Amino acid sequence: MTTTIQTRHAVHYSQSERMTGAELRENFLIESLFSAGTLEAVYTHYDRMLVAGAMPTNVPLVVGDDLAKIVGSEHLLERRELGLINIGGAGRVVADGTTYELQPMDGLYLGQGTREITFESVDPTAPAKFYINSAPAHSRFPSRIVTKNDAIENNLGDSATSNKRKLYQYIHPKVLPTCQLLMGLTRLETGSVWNTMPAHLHDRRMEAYLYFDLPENAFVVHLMGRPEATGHLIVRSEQAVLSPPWSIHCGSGTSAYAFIWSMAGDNQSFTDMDMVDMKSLK
Amino acid sequence: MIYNPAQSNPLFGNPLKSRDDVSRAVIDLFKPLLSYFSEGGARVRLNAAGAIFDRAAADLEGFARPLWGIVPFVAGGGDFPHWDLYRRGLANGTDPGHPEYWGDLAERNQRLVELAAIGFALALVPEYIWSPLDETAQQTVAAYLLRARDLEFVDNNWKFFRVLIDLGLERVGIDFDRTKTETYLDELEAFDIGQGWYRDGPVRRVDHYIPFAMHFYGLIYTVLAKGDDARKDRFRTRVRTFAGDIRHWFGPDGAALAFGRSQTYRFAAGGFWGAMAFADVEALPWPEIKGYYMRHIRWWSRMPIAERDGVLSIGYGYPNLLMSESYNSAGSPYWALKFFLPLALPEDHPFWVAEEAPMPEFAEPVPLKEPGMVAMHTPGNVVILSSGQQHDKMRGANEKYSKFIYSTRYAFNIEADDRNFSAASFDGMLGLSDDGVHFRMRETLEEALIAGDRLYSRWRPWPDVAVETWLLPANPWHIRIHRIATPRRLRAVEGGFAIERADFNRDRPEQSDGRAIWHGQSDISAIIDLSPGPKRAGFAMTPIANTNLIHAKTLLPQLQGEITAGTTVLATAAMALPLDADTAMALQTPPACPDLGELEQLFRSEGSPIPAFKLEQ
Repeated sequence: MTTTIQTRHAVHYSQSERMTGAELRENFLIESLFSAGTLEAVYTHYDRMLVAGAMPTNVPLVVGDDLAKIVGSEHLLERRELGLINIGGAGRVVADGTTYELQPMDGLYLGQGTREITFESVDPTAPAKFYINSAPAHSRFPSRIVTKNDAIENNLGDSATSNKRKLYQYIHPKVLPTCQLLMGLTRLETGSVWNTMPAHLHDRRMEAYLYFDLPENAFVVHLMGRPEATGHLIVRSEQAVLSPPWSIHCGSGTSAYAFIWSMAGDNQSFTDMDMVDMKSLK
Repeated sequence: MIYNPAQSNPLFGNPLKSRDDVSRAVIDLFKPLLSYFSEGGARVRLNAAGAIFDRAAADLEGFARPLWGIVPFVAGGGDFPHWDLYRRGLANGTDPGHPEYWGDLAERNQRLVELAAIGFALALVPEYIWSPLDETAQQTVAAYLLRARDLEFVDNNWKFFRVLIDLGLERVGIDFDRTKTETYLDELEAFDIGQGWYRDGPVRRVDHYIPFAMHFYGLIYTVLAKGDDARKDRFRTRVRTFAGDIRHWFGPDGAALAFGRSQTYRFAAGGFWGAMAFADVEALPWPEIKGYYMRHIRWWSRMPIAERDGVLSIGYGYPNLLMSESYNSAGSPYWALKFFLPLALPEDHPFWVAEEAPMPEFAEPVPLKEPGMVAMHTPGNVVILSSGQQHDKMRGANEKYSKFIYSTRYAFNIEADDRNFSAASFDGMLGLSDDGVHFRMRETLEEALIAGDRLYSRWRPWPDVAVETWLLPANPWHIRIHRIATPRRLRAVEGGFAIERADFNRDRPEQSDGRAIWHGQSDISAIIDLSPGPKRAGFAMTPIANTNLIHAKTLLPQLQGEITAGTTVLATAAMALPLDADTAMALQTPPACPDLGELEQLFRSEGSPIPAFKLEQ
């Protein structure tokens, strides 16, 4: 019933390419984000992105001074913005006295300067699971809910390439203004397993993936690293991957799944990607 | 010579050892009222203070409530020389054409309460209050009482009032529709929450109204009603179970637990012990019952509870409007005369023949699951840990129902100024403020559990701040653990027990980081911070005068600190002891802070809901 905080420092690819599988997991995989009654946060040095999961049960979880201390400000969002998507049961977020009711797969953006934030579950036996990202911000934009219906839906991929999917842009310039945060959700259709294939890079932005809605015994083989020197992570449901700017970030599951992607960095251009020639993958 | 306010108490100096002493107490309590009866006898107006109902109803209180003592006194052979006055008052008060008419009755009106005493009188001593009335007066009185029967009473112990009116009407031969009586009796029994406990209506309150109202009237019913044997058996059966529990609401000195509303009814709290005798229910051995009964009235005989003319004041240990309820008129305190019910019994009844037995000793904490309490017997005191009750519509409701701790020896403080955080007591309570001026404390609960002799509750002082509180006995200490989740910084003050303050600053404070102690003239009171993190500052404070129920001036040890945004765990140990206990040893051996993880595991595996709180709303 408290907050746990880890810090992940940035890693150069020359270091990562010498890492064992366990070391790769230790540096790039977040194995736990959703523990009952806990706010679990990982403060990364990749574009200062904060990745967190809040799973409130009987009592609200609060964004406290310990998180503010990590970012060295009076309160967490003094110079930051925050986005989240609820992948659990119905929940609510109270921010500076305003209550936001969030159904499953609804999102929320909280602008810079928001001071008091609490997360609650409507039904503690079916708790909400708020997947949270926060990045530095230089302007205050209005806080607002982005429901699943508010998100921009894109139908992408093909069953022939096992990547037929729906991509929802939640926190995106076409939906609402933010300083740098981008968030969306991609859900693969049954029979499709590949995400982000062909792979790409964007050295201007980091990216994080939260994989979820995987059956208990299923997993995703997430590929990372420079195209010419890839490594992999075995990722289970509700685990997240940190993707450094120099790394591809794609994967294939043993079943269909969903994942939330989020980015922060020098631009908000969803199409600003350096496509990788798949023949070059090693 | 300096005036001793206790001397105005009509019980003062009465040894209160025998039945004769108790009989004398009734007359002594009544005498000061005589000069305030109106010419027509119907109105007894005692002062200028107001209550929520009109003055005519308040005057009726002053008239009717003494009957709770007079009637059993007379039924047991006592000589009461003022029946003429009462008969005149009854005839005039019920006569719409008389200037002293009590006023028309209405649904859930205060007058309905007072008519219960009249019904009780008709049922027990009709030869004094009814038979001498002429036929016209009888018709007038009967019409008034029958009109009351058509009205709805408040959905709580009030439903017994119509039952008592009915018992009176039945006794004097007035016909009425008995199905209404049975409906109310069925509804009253539906308040049963197990183990002999009731709730006082569809509310999360299980207070003194259970012994001195629900059981009290039920026991009267078993004696005065005709037939209905199965229900009477149920009433008696519940009492037999209940008596073993409610004795933990009485201290070794006779003091009752100050808890809940209507504390100004004072020794009505001891009425339950007398009612058992009246109904011949020996739920505990007669010597034990008598011990609880007599110690209680003797405790009150020492207190300055009356005004200078001997009229009982509103207050508890001394005159005090601050702790009163909106429905307390100047006549209300005479509800206390319900104490005298066993005077209806002859001298040779086993209750009166029995020698008083001292209170049994209880070395281990006693869980009282139904009201959400754990009783801990400490020297000279019974400490009650409490979680599971609430009342959200009454002045002082938080203090009366929602404190973590209650005590027979130290009672509790009522907050006097809700805009002065630094002057608030928070005895037995955690006070929180987000502006340093206004404050919140435990009010209503979201969940209340008991596991063995430990209690858990979850509450929200603000919608976005959650507090979980665990209470543990550690005789003579008790431990409170609070886990507070707040999105903003808060100031926190937590108080121990309030003890009596002496003149001339003779008491000695002791305060340091994580610790505050008051060394009083007769007691010590200590609070210690067991929190895992930084310690709160100890502060030996002096509460606002007239805030404690027993002592007008008190001393209180507190812990004061700040809580940062996030989740914070505070742990506290507190205790108070009379100086004749081994206080030095107790101070040297405070309890260690329990492991919160183990506590959580205990409640996950063994926690069960508090019946008082488990109410579908």
